[in-house]
Amino acid sequence: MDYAATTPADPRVIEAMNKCCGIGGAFANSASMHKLGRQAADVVNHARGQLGYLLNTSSDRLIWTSGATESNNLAIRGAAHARAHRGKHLITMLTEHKAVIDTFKALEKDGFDITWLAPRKDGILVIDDLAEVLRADTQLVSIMHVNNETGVVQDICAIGELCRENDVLFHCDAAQSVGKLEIDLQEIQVDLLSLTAHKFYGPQGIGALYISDQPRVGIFPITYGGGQEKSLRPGTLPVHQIAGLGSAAEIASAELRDNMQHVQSMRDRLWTGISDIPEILRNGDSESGYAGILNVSVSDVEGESLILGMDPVCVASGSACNSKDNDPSHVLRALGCSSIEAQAAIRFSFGRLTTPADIDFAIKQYRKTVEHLRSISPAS
Amino acid sequence: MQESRSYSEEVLELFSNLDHAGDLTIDSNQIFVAEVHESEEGARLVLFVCVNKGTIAQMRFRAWGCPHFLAGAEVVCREMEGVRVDAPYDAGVQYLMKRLDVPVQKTGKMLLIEDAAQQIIAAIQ
Repeated sequence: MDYAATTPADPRVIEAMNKCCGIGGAFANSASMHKLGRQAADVVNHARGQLGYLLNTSSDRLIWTSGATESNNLAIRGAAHARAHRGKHLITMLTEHKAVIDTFKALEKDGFDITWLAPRKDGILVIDDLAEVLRADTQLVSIMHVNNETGVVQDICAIGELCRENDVLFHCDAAQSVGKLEIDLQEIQVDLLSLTAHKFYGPQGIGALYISDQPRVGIFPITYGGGQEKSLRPGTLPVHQIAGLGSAAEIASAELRDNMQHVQSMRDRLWTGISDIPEILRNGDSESGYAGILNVSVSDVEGESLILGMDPVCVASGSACNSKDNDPSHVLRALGCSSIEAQAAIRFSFGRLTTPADIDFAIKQYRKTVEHLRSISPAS
Repeated sequence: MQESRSYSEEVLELFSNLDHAGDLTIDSNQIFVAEVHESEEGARLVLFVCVNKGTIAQMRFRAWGCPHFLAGAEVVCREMEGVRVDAPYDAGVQYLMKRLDVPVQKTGKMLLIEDAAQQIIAAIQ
């Protein structure tokens, strides 16, 4: 139950990737002029179209990257430096993924002025709070769509509108929402949008950055060495991974609604099974949050022991990307959780393959482990 | 901080069999308690010892902490139980770190167990 960390590649995705590997496949360098190169370029362009269809945007607005972390770095650093002559004020939230937070921290060291917005206790950004901190020299706002720890969904339509009215670029880290929630880039006024394939049943190591052309957004590259991807992301394209991303996008386009209903039923089943545990707390907005994530805390239980005790159920404490450090989740701390509540938080996340039997087993393991750890706690 | 989150076989065994977690089950007028905590929101450990005829007849612990911490508390209880009160017990932090293959970032937690063991030895002697 850790689908928010990554997902297994869909068999149809693997089949698409296999077609690109080895002799007889589209394995060539897609920049080569010869027949095999053109064949590989066709695969790349087809995948771009598949992703463009999922997001309802023109495929030529999509840049391939290695994943959302690189997309975030390219979008934020690239936009900040491209517009630095106009101003150096940038805005983001305390609850962003580390890939965004650490990029902004690096820019802070480069002399940019960063405003860190706090959400409400339910994790939602109040639009008026964003409007209040916009300045004449503000150049970029970066707010994620779905929070990777809590599932909180930000109103990116309203954020985009506000930014557009104020001639400020809006970047959105959509790693947790692309392929899971409907995103229509003709409707949302987002200038830059990051995504990664492995969160929606594609392969790891491939992602994309959407760059708007209405209005045209200029960003600087952060790596150099070739002319690929409009010189914004040089390097030989990994054709098999791109084919995998394209296939995952096509599958998501067709099955997104069914998947949404499925994960919602799984989340509701789990919450029904554990919500009567004394002093259990549901973290983040429970009304409009993404249904594929359920984040809960309990008192008198240490998080690492809770996770080990729940074995073989795979769950996460905070974000899997930073769960190797000992600090309590910065996201839950920003929501007002105490250090103890934050470190005892468990993120359950669900996907296509999660079954009711999986949920029932997780309920049993969670209840048993919480009861055991509480029974040996000095506080009990 | 990039610590490994893997556990040794012994830590997994101890964590699954915390036989000494909980309260003393035998009554005595020679019961000793040692209590330590890392910080307000950090690991906590309480050791309970029942002494009978100069021997540690039973030892139990209550703890709030990570798997290494719980395993360390269990090791101390298993090793001290049945030992004469005047026998030396030198299972310090280095012993626990090595035996349980504890990541260096958790040294403070093992020190806490050592402190609790020393407190209880001082009390019963």
